[in-house]
Formats: sequence, C-alpha cells, structure tokens
Amino acid sequence: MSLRKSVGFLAACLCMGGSVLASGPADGGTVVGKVILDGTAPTLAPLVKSGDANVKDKEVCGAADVPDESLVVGDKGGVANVFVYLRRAPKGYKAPEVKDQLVLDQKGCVFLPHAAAIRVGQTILVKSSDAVQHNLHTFPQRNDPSNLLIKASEDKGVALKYTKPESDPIEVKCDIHAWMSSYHLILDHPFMAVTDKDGNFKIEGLPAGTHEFRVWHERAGLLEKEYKVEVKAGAEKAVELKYAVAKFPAKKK
Amino acid sequence: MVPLRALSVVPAVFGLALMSAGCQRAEPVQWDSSEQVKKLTPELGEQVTKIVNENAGSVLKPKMVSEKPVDDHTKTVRRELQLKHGQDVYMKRCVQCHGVSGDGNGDVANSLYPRPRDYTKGIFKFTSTPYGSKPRRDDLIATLRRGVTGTSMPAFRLLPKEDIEDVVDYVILLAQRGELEVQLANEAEASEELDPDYISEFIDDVGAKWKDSSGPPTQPLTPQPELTPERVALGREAFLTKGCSKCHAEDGRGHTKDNIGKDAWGHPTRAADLTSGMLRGGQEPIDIYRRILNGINGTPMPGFRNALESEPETVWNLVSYVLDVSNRRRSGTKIPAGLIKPYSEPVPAAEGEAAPAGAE
Ligand code: HEC
Ligand code: HEC
Repeated sequence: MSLRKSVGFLAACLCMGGSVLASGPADGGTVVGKVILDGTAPTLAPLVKSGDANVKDKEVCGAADVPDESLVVGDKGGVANVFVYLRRAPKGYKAPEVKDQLVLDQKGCVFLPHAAAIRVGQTILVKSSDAVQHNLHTFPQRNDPSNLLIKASEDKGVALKYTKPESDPIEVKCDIHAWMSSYHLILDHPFMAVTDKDGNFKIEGLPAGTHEFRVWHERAGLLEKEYKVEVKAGAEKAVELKYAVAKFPAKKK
Repeated sequence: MVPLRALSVVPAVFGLALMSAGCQRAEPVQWDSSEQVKKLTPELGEQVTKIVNENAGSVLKPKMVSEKPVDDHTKTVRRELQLKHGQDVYMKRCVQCHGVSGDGNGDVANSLYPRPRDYTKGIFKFTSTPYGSKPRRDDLIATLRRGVTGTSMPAFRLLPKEDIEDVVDYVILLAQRGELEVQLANEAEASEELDPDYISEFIDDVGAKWKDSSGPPTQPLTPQPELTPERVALGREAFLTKGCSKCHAEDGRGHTKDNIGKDAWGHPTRAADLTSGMLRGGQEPIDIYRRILNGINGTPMPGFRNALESEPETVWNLVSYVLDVSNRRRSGTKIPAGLIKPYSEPVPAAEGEAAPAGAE
C-alpha cells in the first residue's frame, strides 16, 4: 500500500511545464561503464577469522572467514560496490512504478548484498540465514531511522521500506555484530547502479541529454559530484572511470 | 521554582550559569546555527538561515515550523503568547543544560554525563511510538514530570500544567527548527545550491513527521498480566535466547566486551545496565514494554516487534525479568543521580564538538 502512496507522491511532484518523458530502454539511452582502480589493490585481512574462539556467536560468525568488503577489487582492477547515480531524476521525468521486491539476507554474519540500490517505496524483505539474532540498523539523513531485531533464521522476512530519497548512500549496520556493515542508496527514480564484482555497471532508459552522475564508494566517499555524460536516445554510451588507490584509504575505526 | 533534586544534582555550576545569564530578563539574543550550516559557503549558509527564519521565526518571535499561519488574529496572538511563555520557562529552567537553541550545549553541559539532549536532531529516546518516529507530546510531558532517573535531568513535578505544556511546545519548536536547518544544510551541501523547487518538500517533511505527536501511543499486543515469579523465570530464559543478552550480557549489566557503538548524537553508547535500578525511560511495566517493542531512538537498542509478535506473552515475561533485575539492587548500592562520569572516548571531531571537559 505504501508503494501506491509513493507513486502518488511522485505524480504530485511532476512538473507539468516540461514534456513528460517516456521511459524504457527502447527510446532511452544507456550508459555502460567500468570503475577501475589505478594502482595495486591492498590485501585486506578478514574481519573475523574462521575458527576465532573469541568472536561473538562463534558457531555462526566464526564458521568461515568474514571478508572485509570495504574495498573489493575484481578482474582487471574493476572496483565492486561503487554507486553510480543521478542525484535527482531529470525534471519532468516520470518514474515507472517499482514492482520488484528486494531480498536482503544475513549469512555467516555478513549482509547480502553489501551494497544495494533501492527505490523509494520499494519493499525490502530482510531475511536471515543465520541461527543467531541480528539487528538491522539504518543511518539515513532524510528517512526515519529503523532498528529491527531480526530473529534467528528469519525466513519469512521482515518488511523494510524507505519513504524518502537520500542524497548519497547510507550505512546499514548490525550493532550486535559490530563489524557487519552495508550500504543502501535510496532514490525516487531508477537511474542508479552498483558496480558488480568486476566493476561494471549499466544504467538504462535515460532521457536523451547531458546527465551529471555522482559516483560514490564507501571508503572514498564522493568520487564524482557531477560526472557529465551525454546520452542519445536509443544509443549506448561507454565510460571508464579510473581512480588512484590513494582515494580509497582505510576507514578509521 | 526549581525542584530540590535538580539543585542537588548540579551543585555550584548551576548557580553560576544562572548568574552568567545576567540580571536582565533572560531573553536569548539569537539562536545558534548548527555545525552543518557553518560548514557551508557563506552564501549557502545565508540562504539556509533565511528559509529557517521564515519558518521557525526568531527568538523574538518564535514560530512552529509545522503550524501554518491562520487567518484569525486572536488565535495567532494567543499562540504567539503561548510560545513566548514556553520560551520564558525554558530560559529559566532548561537553558543552562540544553542551550539557547536546544543543541544540548548549555553552560553546564560539559560536566554532565550523559550530556543533556540535543533536540536539534529531532530525536527523542523515551517515546511510546515506533522506532524512528517522533515522540508524542505526552511522552515529553511525562519525561518532564518524571525526570530521567540516573541522569541530571530533573523531575519538574511541581511546575504548573501551563508551564509544562508551553515549555514542551517550545522544545518541539526548537527540535523542528533544528531538523529543518539540518535537512536544508544537507541538501545545500549535496547539491551546492538550494533549488527552490525542492524547498517546500523539506518544510512539509518536518510537519509530516510531527503530525502524529498527538496520536495514540503504541498499545501492548496483549493486556498486561500479573507479573509473577514464573514470568520472571520465563523472562530470564527469553532474555538469554531472544537476543537481549548479546548486548546486555547474561547478567543484564551490559558489560560485554565489544559492546560499543555510537548513538545518533555521536556519543559512545553501551547497552544499559539493567541492574542499576535506574531505568531512564520509566519504571512502569508499560514503559519497559514499549522500550522492548519499539527500541530506543538514536541508539543501538532495536525494536523487537517483528521478532516477538508471534509470542506476545514473551514480551511481558521480559518486562517481568527486567523489573526484577532492576529492583534487585534498588535497596542496596545506589549510584548518585547525574554521576559525573566522562565519556570513555573523546567525541569525534567530525561531530564538531570539543572533548568533554570532564575527560580524564
Ligand atoms: C541539570 C541539567 C538539565 C536541566 C536543567 C534540564 N535537563 Fe532535560 N535533560 C538533561 C539530560 C542530561 C538529559 C539526557 C538524559 C539521557 O540521555 O538519558 C535530558 C533530556 C531531556 C529530554 C529528552 C527526553 C527524551 O525522550 O529523549 C527532554 C525533552 C528534556 N530533557 C527537556 C527538558 C526541559 C523542557 C527542561 C526545562 C524545563 C530540562 N530538560 C531541564 C539535563 C537537564
Ligand atoms: C543491539 C544491542 C541490544 C539488544 C539486542 C538489546 N538491547 Fe536493550 N539496550 C541497548 C542499548 C545500547 C541500550 C541503551 C540505550 C541508550 O543509550 O539509552 C538499551 C536499553 C535498554 C532498556 C532501557 C533501560 C532504561 O534505562 O530505561 C531496556 C529496558 C532494555 N534495553 C531491555 C532489553 C531487552 C529486554 C532486550 C531483549 C528483548 C534488549 N534490551 C536487547 C542495546 C540492546
């Protein structure tokens, strides 16, 4: 129901002055790209070592290494978990309804996925494959914060919803297992992507014109505030974004 | 009249603060703007301040952001007088701790642990509403009447009803002003401009968030049963198996090794010591019930509604257990209220605060 509400909200914001741009990959343009690390990726020690006897809930959280996902670099230096997005939809653009549900899982005391692009009003089901409790604690700027205790082996899923767009990705944590951290970007339009394990991303259905993208990574913060890309209807534009490894310093604890 | 407890809690400093406020009528000169605004370019900062002032007024003529002007002169004047009266009460009894603009930086704040609440984030802990929501007006009134046990926040039991009502409105006004300012500052920082097309959204947001503050409180899933020793035993069992002990430790004292997080104000937190006999959010079963179901805003304490909805009696069992451990030490060792205990870690510079004066 809240889904419908958010659509109403979007419709209300529509500026009637401009032409209402149609959406969909057919008439829109596409941006494909890759985010690349310039330099040697650091080797990161696991956050929790397999078999660590001192870790909380060691049977579950210590069953396997918990990887440090704060900088994941894949094939040919591609950087994973980078958010690429328009801060706001082009004026006059009418965003299509969100139908897809997003499932978040917690497995081996790791949030899956580590980085998620989410639409305002989209239903998120928070599940847990772990036989221990977690708490999902969001740290938004505009949305009301949530802090949900997720029970052990939650398989039905607890619903989570964001009602407002955020400027940049927000952190989502588990306080019980303090190393568990992930990032959500919430926008009221679909022009956003998270790079895959090899640093690739694709944003489709963009109205023709020049767009300014933001590029954000959890270690680096904003890498770009207005990366300009010219998009032509029906065409695909390829970009490569390369950043020095020094831009990705380890976060202070 | 300031209740005696308040005086015993903040001894000398309290008097000093009153003196330094001067002998003239304690009217604030100006509200401060938040750190976020100070970080903006001067032009953007001015734009933010202008919009904030249009919506929240000034110290001379404070306005509630969420209240739209009405076309009724008598009503408007009456409301203005109420808010001014709230301000008078605030400047007399609250400002030394909570600060002129409600940012928790009053003259004596640095010597207090925990620090006085910074209202400008719009976050309140002792609520009867779900996690992430605003408090009800009645929650704030209850906090004022009850005080916050185990902290320097005094109980204002003897304050006339009118003073309480109006000062609570003034607190809400400061909270709304603070929230609007922070939201606009965030927007200005992110966009490097304030696009007039989006400004009204931020103003409306503040109103929408406070809209339910006169709505009903969270009701328990089942009526309160008698809190029997059997329930205490079952509650202990649940405390160990439903996740409480992961933060509060098995004995409820909160002394687990890796239990450090930060609260929404940037201060280090730890799970409450439930055995201290000083439940901050109220000692009534329903208060504890709501803490468990809703969680505590701005802190790691999560809401258990989803987790325990299918076994509502467990919530009451947990309440029985929490009350039992909390009462155990009541008669014995009593930690003095408002104990001056420095934060264990310096507050990070990013929060724009100096290290607490009391730090050792
Ligand atoms: C001696 C210092 C002191 C004075 C005077 C004082 N407060 Fe507080 N107040 C505190 C502290 C400390 C806290 C934080 C308690 C905590 O974090 O648990 C607090 C918390 C609060 C809260 C937050 C409750 C919540 O749910 O989060 C409100 C509201 C409040 N005070 C209102 C007032 C008002 C109104 C007055 C004046 C009538 C006042 N206080 C006077 C110290 C003070
Ligand atoms: C993720 C960690 C975490 C879990 C799990 C947790 N708590 Fe808490 N709890 C906290 C923290 C942190 C506080 C202190 C909040 C603050 O700063 O005021 C707290 C505060 C409380 C309070 C308020 C004490 C007061 O002074 O009013 C109660 C009651 C409480 N917890 C009970 C429980 C119960 C019962 C459970 C299990 C159903 C539980 N908690 C699970 C972290 C947790």
